[in-house]
Amino acid sequence: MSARLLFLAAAATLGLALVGAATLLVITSDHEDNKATTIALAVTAGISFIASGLVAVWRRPENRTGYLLAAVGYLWFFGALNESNNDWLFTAGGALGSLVFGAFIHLLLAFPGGRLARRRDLWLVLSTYALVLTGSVATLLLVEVPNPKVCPGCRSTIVVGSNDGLETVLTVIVTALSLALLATVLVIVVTRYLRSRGALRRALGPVLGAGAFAMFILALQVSIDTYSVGAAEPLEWVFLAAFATVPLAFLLGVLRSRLARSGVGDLLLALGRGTPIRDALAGALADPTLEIAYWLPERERFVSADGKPLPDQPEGRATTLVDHAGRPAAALLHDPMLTHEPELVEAVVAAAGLWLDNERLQAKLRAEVAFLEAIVNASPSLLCSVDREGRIANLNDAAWQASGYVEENDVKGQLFWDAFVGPEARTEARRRFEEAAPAHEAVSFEHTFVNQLGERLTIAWSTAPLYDEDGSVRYVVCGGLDITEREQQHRQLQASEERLRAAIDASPVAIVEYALDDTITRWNPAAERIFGWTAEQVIGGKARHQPPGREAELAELFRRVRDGEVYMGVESKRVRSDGSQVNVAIAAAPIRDSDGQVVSHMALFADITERKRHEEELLASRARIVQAGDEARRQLERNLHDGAQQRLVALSISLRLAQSKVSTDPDAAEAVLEGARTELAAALDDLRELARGIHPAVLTDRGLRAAVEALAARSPVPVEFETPDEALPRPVEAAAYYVIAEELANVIKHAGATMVNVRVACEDGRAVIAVSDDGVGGADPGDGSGLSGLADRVEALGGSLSIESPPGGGTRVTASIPL
Amino acid sequence: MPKTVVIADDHPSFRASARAILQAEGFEVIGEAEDGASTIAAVGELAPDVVLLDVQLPDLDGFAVCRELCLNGGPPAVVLVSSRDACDYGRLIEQSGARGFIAKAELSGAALADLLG
Repeated sequence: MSARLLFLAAAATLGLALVGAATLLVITSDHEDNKATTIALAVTAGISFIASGLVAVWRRPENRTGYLLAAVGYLWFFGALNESNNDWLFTAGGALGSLVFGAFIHLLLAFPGGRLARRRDLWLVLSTYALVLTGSVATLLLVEVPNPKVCPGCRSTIVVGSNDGLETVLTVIVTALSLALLATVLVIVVTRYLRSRGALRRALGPVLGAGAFAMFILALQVSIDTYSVGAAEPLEWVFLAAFATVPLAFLLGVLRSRLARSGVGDLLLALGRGTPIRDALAGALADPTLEIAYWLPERERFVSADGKPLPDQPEGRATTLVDHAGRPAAALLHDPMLTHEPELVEAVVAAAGLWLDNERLQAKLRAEVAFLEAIVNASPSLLCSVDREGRIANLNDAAWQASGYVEENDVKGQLFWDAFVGPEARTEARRRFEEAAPAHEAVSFEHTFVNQLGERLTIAWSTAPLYDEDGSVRYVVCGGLDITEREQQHRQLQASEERLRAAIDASPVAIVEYALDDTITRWNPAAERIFGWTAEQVIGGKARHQPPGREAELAELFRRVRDGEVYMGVESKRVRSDGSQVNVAIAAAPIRDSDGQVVSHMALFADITERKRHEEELLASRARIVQAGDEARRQLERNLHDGAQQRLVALSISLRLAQSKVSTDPDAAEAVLEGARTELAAALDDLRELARGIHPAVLTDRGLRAAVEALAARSPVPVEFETPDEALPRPVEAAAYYVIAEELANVIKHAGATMVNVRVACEDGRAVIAVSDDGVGGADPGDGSGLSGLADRVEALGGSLSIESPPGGGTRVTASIPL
Repeated sequence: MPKTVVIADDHPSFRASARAILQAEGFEVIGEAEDGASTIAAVGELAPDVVLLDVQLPDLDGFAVCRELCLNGGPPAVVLVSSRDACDYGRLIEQSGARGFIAKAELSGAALADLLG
């Protein structure tokens, strides 16, 4: 700091010395007519450049503008050498006096940063320096009296030879180049001003305006001078005035900054009135583009006032960090012009620090809310808040999608039960909601509904109240889980269990399930029916239907089933509740859980008592049929033996006797032969009768009707009969014939009847053969009447034989055979 | 002197035929019986030379009657007859103690005389 002050003091001293020297030169000049005016204007112009330059250097040493201003001031004083009466000093003034214009253009192009931002500007500045230097030196080399109007006696000390033609050419070239340079710089300066905005424009305005005007006048002056030397003299004063305005304009800019600094007071007032801090700061810093970013230490980043991450900043924006209470609170994003006024920014920021920190906390809160919102919306669970009327105030994406509405706003404001409860349960849901008011304590419930897309959903909801400042419920938060799939699986499982249970209940087979400790856990209706115990009596207890004395054997069987063996079709006996035995076919298999572990076993018992009885009957029937066949053959042999055979034997003997007598006693022989013929006829009768007994030929040849007719014709008891028109299958026809023949024989032998009625008919796909008489009745099928043989024959065809024979009431035998 | 014969058979037609042919061929038929018991009784009572005995009788069969008659050790000579063939009875005839067997259809005085020698 002290070094800078020393430097500034030295520079100021140099400036004062130059002022003194210049004043001296003007006063002593023999060719200056307007000494007072010249001193006043020229000295003022130089001194104001130096003074404002040094002020700028003091205030902002890092900005070269101050140095450039000062340089313009120092170089300006070279022009004073032209006032000298000494030719050497005059020549030096002529050579260096124009350098000030190079510095001036340098200053304008480098304003306000003090650096030439573009290569083009650099070239322009260098060209200007070169032009003014070479132009001046060339004139001094070629013209002995370079400024005869102002000073006819002042001569160039470096002239090499006067040449008027060459001088004219030089003047034209220098003038053209000067005008071109001035025009270019003028265009650049005006363009820069027009393109600038905001604070920059305001800062550029006075300096560039004054500078541009000065250059314009200079250009005009140069142009006019070319045609008529000295005609432009009045313009010199105008130029000087404009030139001297530049440092004033610079000081004006500084002054405006100082004025702006007084805006801190206004800022505090505006903040106190509740003006948004950004607007207040933008006003105080005179930068309407200003933005504020807030620092979130936990995220280590800046966010905007609404809590959103900050977008990338466009080029050309400047950032100023603001600390509060020792930590970063905010950053101001502003016009780069403001970096030239750090004190202003500092003062404004210090004044607004508390507000900024407050805003930072709000931004933090908003960021947290945004974070929570993101979580809520990303949640797969349905979330919505419902107001005290039951209207949906807010909901997350999952809830919105579940509602099936296209627009989220279509759901908001709807009654919860209209959006998420099926019509059948809406009234109930509304009633429950109203009953829960005002406390709205946490509850859980499930609802199935069809949403706007027609999807059927089941949601399990849980609610919780949300309180406002005075402790009353403001919203009810409803969290829902879509359990549609789970519910569907549950229903399918239930249906499948129901089917299984129905099958078990309806099964004709007794189904018994045993737990691992052998207690019964299932006992279906068929088990109740077959074994006689009800489910209540046996479930939870040990099996009671097992035959006594086989406990160890059955326990071993249970063990093997639980080890994985499967039994099928084992026939055994079990015990009924009344103590009787029942024949059963048993199947048993282990029941495993989803892990394959045996958890119980099931035994199935089919009641085969009836089947067993049928089997036994069938066996007996078969034995009887075989026996009857045997008997029939024995009878046949006996009949042959006793009948025809005996007669033929007698015949044979008679023929031998006749033979022996035919020669000795022809009469006797004839008598014997006569007897033999009778015997033969009887033998033939016997054989015919026998053959008929074996199988009636008439049945084979002529059918049932003819056969029954023959039977009736031979019967001593009158027979009425009726037969069907259609032919019956042969086995049925034969069975019918034997039933009729046997019964007729029985009637003749035992009944003492006066009339027999025989009826054969086809009814409902069965042949019905009925033989009834009006005899004594009381027939017993077991007395060897041949009825059991008939029953076997009929049953062998799948039919049945019944007999009604009340004593004194006649006998009716009916056979029914399926066709 | 003609040999006396008792005919034992349950069929009257055979008894009549046998009586006619045996008497025609010189035998004297002195009695008839229709079952085993009456045969044994008749033999005891009439003491015939020959008993023409049917194998199949309603009560005792002919072999049993034959054993009974032969147990007494002497006459009469028992000749078994049957409407069946001798081979139907196998060795029963040999073991019965009877003098021989004649198929009923083959019966004649000569055949009987042959067996009696």
